[in-house]
Amino acid sequence: MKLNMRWRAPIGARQMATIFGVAAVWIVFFRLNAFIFNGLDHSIFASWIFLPAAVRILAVLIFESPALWGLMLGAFATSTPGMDIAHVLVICFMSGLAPYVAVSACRKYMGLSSDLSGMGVRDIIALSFYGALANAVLLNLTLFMLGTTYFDMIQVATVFIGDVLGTALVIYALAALLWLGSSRRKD
Amino acid sequence: MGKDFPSAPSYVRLLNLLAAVRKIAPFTHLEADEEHLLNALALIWHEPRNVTVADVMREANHVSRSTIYRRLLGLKRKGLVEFKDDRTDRRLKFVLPTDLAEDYISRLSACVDDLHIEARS
Repeated sequence: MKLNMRWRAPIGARQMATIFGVAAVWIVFFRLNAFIFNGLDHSIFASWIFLPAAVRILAVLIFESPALWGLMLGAFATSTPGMDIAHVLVICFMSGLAPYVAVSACRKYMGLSSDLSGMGVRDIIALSFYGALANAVLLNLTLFMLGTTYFDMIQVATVFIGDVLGTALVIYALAALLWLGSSRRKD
Repeated sequence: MGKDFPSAPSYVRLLNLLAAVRKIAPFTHLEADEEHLLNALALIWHEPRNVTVADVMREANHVSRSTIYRRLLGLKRKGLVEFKDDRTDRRLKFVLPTDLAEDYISRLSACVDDLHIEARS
């Protein structure tokens, strides 16, 4: 009796691929954001529209913990040159931690299942909102505690609004692409 | 909300996420079959009688009951019809137009009236 064995990459290799994949997507969205919304920066840490914020939430939802490392790696790759390396590492850590905190909290308090079944529009809106809130608060607290910036409420608001708008833009674009794809398949 | 699987594969999570994102679709349109059904319902709603899901299935020619029900669900998802249980017999489900359906029908009527006026002038 022949066994039909399919080769599967070892778990470690798959996780590494996920980490690098998420980091690559982060870098692409970061560059795209800088290209399209050049001039909407409040500071080097805050932009009024920030498309990569969508990558944070979506990556953590789909890939869970490997996404954290991918986001940290992506944030490191796009960090501001010349900054103190210890500060950079802490900020990168927060970049991965904030969406994880938001998603974990939403899972616990909104009853979101781990396989995301039954997820609705309200869940996506809530995840985007809390993801932006977690990032805005944690990032600015981190920057303040590191002495990188003073606690600037406008910066906090900019990060929050930038993340919300960026996530909304990406998700709407994705919804439109999915609709377009399904419409063409039916024709 | 859904069963909790401790280690659901990423692909399952991706599919469920995309299904949720699809619901955000900024553009909605009626399938040809759904539009045909909606037009048939518009005729029935014009009559002074309540129409049930069973009535719609019975009046559909050459289409299976399950297909009709699926199309009714599609119209419900798009906010064009709603189902209401009969108070005395919960097996009966009435198919009622929503405000959106009534708006759709009145707009079509207005278009037809405009065409009629243009043709006469």
